[in-house]
Amino acid sequence: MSHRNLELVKKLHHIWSTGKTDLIADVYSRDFVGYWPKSALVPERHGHEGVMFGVQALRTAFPDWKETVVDLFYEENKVASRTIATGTHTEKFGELEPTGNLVEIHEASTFKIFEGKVVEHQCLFDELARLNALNVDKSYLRKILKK
Amino acid sequence: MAKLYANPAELIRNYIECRNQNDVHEMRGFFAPKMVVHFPPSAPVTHYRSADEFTQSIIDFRVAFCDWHEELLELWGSEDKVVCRVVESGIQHGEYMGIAGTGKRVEFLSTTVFRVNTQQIFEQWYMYDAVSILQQLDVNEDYVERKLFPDRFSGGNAMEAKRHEP
Repeated sequence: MSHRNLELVKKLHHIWSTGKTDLIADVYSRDFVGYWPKSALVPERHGHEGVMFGVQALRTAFPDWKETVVDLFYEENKVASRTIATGTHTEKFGELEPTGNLVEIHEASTFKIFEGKVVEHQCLFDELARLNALNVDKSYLRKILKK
Repeated sequence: MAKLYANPAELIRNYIECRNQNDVHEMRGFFAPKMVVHFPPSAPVTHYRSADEFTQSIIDFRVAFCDWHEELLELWGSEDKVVCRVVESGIQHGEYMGIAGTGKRVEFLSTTVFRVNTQQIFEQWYMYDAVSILQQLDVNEDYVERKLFPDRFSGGNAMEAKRHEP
């Protein structure tokens, strides 16, 4: 069962890497909740719709977005992954106009799995690397710092 | 001689307790001599390459944040890997990353993956909500550009250079 959980999390990263949103219902529970840093564009995502919105928004801004799994392990119904995400910023991302820059972001995640689906995702990522790679200006930084 | 714990997660639980007590000597006993610690690429220091280096960084950090505390949210592991998520908090009394003591309390989330056995930590990958720290210390955009995005001023790409450190 736990080996299946590893495959499930690989599939989850595959969705974000390919935009195959038809796989969302296979991987995520309807009751799914995802938590990102408070400073992230969307700090929480709920249900299939939340994931769908996230994948589409990210892959619109970064069409070649790819999450490479560099570490993956489990204990019973829990999985941890470390990933390195890359993508080229070719369309607007939130308020940020496209820069054409390549971003590389390290992420650390834990997942809880129930009845073969991911019910919770806790993710921290290198937000400062993202802001630097997207060459954000002082007014954007000011807004982030005062959030 | 390193202590033997029932499993790797138990070792990390004891290590966190030790960090909370700021017992540097005891803490040093958890580290394999040639341990490697990875911080995110945007951090001012991205790697520590020995137990001595990392222990010194903890000593320095605790000068700035003498009441540091880590509250466990999640801790579990496999045979050779452990993940722990904590809420870290403390009051900044001394200089930290070029910021003079502010007296402000910071609280933020971190996740660490450890490569470990039942006696020692060999490697760890640390990820934290760095933006949240900057928000709580009330730094401004000039500080972030100067201190954390130095390549904008040097003309080179410091982030890229750090990524390819040996």
